[in-house]
Amino acid sequence: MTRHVRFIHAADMHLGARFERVSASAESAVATELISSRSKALTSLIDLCIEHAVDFLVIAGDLFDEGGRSAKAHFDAQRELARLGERGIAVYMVHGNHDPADASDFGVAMPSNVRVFSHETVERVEHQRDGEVVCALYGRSFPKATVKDNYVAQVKRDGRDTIAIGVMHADVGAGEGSTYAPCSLGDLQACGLDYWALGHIHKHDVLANNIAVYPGSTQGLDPNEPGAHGCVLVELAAGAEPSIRFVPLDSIRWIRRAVDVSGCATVADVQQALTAAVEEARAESDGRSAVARVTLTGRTEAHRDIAPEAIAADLLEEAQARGMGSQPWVWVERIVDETRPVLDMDALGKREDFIGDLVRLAGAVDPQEILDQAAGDLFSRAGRDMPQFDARAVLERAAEECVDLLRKGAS
Amino acid sequence: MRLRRIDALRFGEMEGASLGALGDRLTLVIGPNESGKTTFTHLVRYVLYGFPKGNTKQPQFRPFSGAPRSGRLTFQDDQGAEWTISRTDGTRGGTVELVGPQGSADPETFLKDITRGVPEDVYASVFGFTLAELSSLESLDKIQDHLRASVSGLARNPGEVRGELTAHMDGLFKPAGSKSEAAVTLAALRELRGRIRDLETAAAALALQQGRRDELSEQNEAADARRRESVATAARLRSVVDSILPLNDQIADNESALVEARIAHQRLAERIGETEVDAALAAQADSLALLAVAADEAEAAMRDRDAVQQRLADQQQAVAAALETLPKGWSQERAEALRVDAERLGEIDTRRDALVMREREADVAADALARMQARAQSTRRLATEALGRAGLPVDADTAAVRARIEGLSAAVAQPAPKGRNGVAIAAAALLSFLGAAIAVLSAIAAQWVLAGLGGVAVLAGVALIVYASFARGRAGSGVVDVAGAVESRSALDDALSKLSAAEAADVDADEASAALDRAHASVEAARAEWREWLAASDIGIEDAPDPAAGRSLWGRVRDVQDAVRRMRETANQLDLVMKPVTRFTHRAAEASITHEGGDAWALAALVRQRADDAQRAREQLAARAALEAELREKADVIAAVMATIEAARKRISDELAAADIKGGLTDAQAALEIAVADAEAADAEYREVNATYNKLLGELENQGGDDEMALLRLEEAGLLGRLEQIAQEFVIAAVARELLTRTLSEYERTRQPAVVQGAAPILERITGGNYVRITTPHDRFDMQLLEDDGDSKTTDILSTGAANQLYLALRLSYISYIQSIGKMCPQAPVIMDDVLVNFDDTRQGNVAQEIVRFAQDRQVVLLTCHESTVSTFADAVGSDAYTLLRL
Repeated sequence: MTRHVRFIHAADMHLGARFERVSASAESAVATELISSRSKALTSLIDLCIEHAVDFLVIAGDLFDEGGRSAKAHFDAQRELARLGERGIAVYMVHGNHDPADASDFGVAMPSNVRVFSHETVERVEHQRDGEVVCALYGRSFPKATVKDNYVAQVKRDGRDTIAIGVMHADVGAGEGSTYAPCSLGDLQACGLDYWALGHIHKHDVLANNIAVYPGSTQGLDPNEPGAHGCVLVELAAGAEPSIRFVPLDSIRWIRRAVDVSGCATVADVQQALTAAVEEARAESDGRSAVARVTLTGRTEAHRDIAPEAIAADLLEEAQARGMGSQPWVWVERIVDETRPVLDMDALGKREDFIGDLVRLAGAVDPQEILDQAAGDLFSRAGRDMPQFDARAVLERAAEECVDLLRKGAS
Repeated sequence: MRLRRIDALRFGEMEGASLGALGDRLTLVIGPNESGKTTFTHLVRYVLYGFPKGNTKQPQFRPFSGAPRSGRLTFQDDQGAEWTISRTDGTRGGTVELVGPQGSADPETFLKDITRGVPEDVYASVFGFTLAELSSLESLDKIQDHLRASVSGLARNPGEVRGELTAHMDGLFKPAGSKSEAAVTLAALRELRGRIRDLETAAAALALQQGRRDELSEQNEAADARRRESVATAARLRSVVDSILPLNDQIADNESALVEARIAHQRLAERIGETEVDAALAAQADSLALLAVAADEAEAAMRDRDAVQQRLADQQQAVAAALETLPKGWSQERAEALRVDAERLGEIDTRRDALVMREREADVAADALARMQARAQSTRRLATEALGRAGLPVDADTAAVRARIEGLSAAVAQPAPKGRNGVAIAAAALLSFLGAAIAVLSAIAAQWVLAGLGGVAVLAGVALIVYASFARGRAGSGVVDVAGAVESRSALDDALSKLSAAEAADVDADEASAALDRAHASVEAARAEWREWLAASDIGIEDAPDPAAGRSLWGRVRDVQDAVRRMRETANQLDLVMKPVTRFTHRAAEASITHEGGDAWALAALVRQRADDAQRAREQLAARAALEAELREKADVIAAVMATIEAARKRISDELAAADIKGGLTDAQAALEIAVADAEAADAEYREVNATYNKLLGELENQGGDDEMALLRLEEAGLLGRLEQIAQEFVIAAVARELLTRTLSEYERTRQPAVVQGAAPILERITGGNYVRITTPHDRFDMQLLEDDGDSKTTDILSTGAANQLYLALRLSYISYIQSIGKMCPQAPVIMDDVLVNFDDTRQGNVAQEIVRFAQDRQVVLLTCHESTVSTFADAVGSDAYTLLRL
């Protein structure tokens, strides 16, 4: 038996996924790039497999995102995976929580070179090269969107295996409450496999001396997935620690930047800081186009000046113009104003006057109660579209907002 | 700190007006209308806070003169020191100056200390107000806001902030509205999601078409497989044919090459067979080539021999010719034997030269004689002519002439000069004669110098004669005037002269003739001496008549000797020239090449012929060797081509066998045609099925509407993002407003009662117990006045006077309250401008008592234009309770 295999491990492509609270439709170039980014990452993945002439490709779940209900995603996958079939490269994959076995595939069957692990039990599949078994792969698909069972614990290595690889969509270290096939690091190690090809966590992570790896999503899906995304190229030899190399595949990079504007006294200062942040984002994008969400932080004299909607819109427009002005472009998707007025709330809370009363009251009330009281109507109206808020943070900002408004113009 | 004096330097209609000596507590200022009470009230505020800008609603009080506004306040501190602060119109409210007990000081610090941070509007409302400003506090919530603001040091009143937050929240979200940003965004989301649902519905319909798609997919795959198979078969056969065809061509080509090679081989063999070569002769090629070179040398030698022989003949003829130049009887042997040594040869030359000299002298003498004779003839002819002219006979001699002259002279008168001239002429003639003689003799003796001198003497003599004759003629002409006589004398003189010359010439000729004779004799003597010497010698050239002939004979003998010598040298050279010929004939003989006639020329030609034959034999031998090599190569080529043909045939056989084709190329081509037709048919079938399949796929993909859906979802994401921002802003504003509301409630509950409760007894006293209590519900911005009979009134139904009394009571209570808790209370006096005009007399008196009570702890200035007000105060509290000032 050959004692060496080379393969690519990817997961969480989320083809056809919805976008999460992203403001990008106004700029056609950005919209086009965003819409095509996931399929581009898939194409790059297939190209990479061909380039490295790998033995096979492993997809550890969530190839699709059924929340998007996209037929095109299935067509894209069928077409791209078939390219591997033309070159004799096999694909081993499991269903994840976003594309469980019971989800619709729009009748689009996978090409013959794609082997999908069963959702009923852990399967052992042998991979052959030139008629010779070179390794065995163990895996089990998600039958539906939630799985509370520990699939990893169900894997038993066959004594004949020279090289054994696990393929799972699993939530390592999440505890029993998780509905994404939870397991522990110990479970992974206990199986004695040579490599665990995991999926579910969108950020690339290496666990337990390279034997368990989350490659991360092939393309960052939204502003909450900043940084490089791609897959891992794995060289596996019997009895040796796996050799893994992360390969970025993302065509567009999400970037989140917090800009401390506490040193800014004017709107112009803030704008200058934003410009610098845009250029930092461009540098950070590693030659790719990027979508950035910038959060302004810090206590600043300019807090009240940048608060008006028109000013905020101007700042955003200027930052977007700067970002799109050169290549690779950077689309500033949103500027989140988390600046605070320059206030010493502790000192103000000690005063025996109206402001003192207000500060003390803010410290005494139940944040969630006052939030529900104040914004209950909106919560009711918006329903599930309402974002989650940190009630304590909202209360603190509201108190400061009150004090700042009351003191506005005070000497 | 107390305000003592107000100076209106330039302010409104006033210029240089003052209001001074304000008291420590209450000061009543009485003045008629337009005396400046309100002007002073505003001036205090403007000096403290700055002159208002032109675009504000506040009274401007600009002087008619257009001069900048200017005012001054004089304060006195607790130590009695005065502080004067003045303000003059300018930017930022005007220029402020402060002069204290130590001189100029910082006005800003002073003003902050005076105003204690109370904003201007608060000051205007609470601390320095006119009746109009008091009345302008139209609602209780507003005064409460002012009160709260002033109490808490707020820049803005909470009610205003609450209103602003409410307005902002309404813009973001209003439960009952549809135009708020949240409502608009949610509506857009709904509309967008409706479109997305439509697309999803369309996408769901795709599943229904999957059966057809799968069926077509299978058909497509089957057709594709058939097409691929038939194409593969055709390709395989084409490959076989394509591989056989070049092999076939290769075999044909090689067979042609084989035939050509064989023909060439045959021709080469024939040529080799036809080639005869004298190998032995070829082997001698080198030696014969060398012998041919010797032949060339022999021929060259023979050509040299002929030239030498020709030269020898020429030289023999030259010897004969040289012998011919010798006198008869001279043989070659005699000539060769003759030897003349150098000494004798020198003797001969000497004698020859001497003889030549003498002969030359004889020639000179002969020439002199000829000249003398010619001259004698010439002078004679001249003398004859002169004699003729003188009338004398041609044979007359000099004596006759002289006689004639003498005769003639007798006829002449003066004979003296004649005698002297005659002597002179005679002497001259003698001189000439002697000179001529010397010259001739010297010439004969080759003494050329003496000859020259003789010539000179001749010329001198002639010149003297001519001169004497001329002189004699002149003398005669002078003496004998007869022309004829003169002429005759002249002719006679001439004749005499010429005759004398002729005679002298004759003498010279004779002398020359004698000299010639002597020269001839000398020549003959030399020749005689030669003959004697020659005879005495044994030279062998005794037959030479003179030295020159001897010298010439010896020369010719030498020529004979030289010719003989050259002839013999040439004869010797002839032997040398013939040596190469001799060597050549020997070498030719050694090579068995001979000529019957022994002719070296013929032998050389024969040798050269043999050498050429040998060279040709050698070349033929080499050519045949080359042909033999070429023959071998052809044989090799034939073998290789045959092997290639065999290999190609083997490959064709293998290809056909591998393709399972019985027969040959023709069979393979027929099979290929059939396969191509099959492939085309399969391809057509596939194209048809595939077109149908792709059309359905396209339809399915279009029905998926993914591009549009992706855009809609991106828009949805944007709307959700916008909603998040709206919600973020809204919840902060909403919580802020809720906080503000709750704080206000708490404030009213815990703090406002102190002010309100303080105002209640004031109002009760002012109203004479009519209103006994003021209440402030927590949930409303309103007040209620409780009357003594238990009824209550809200502020909106109070009379103007009662409302003003309430506001005044609240102000007094408020100022007392904040002063009691040490909050912001200005050190400037509380200024009230005619605020009592709407009160009845009783309540005026009550108010007077309250104000006096209020002024116990602070400075108060009350301005009025009503004398009754002063009276009221005097009646109510007594004139000692206040300071009265009149304007």
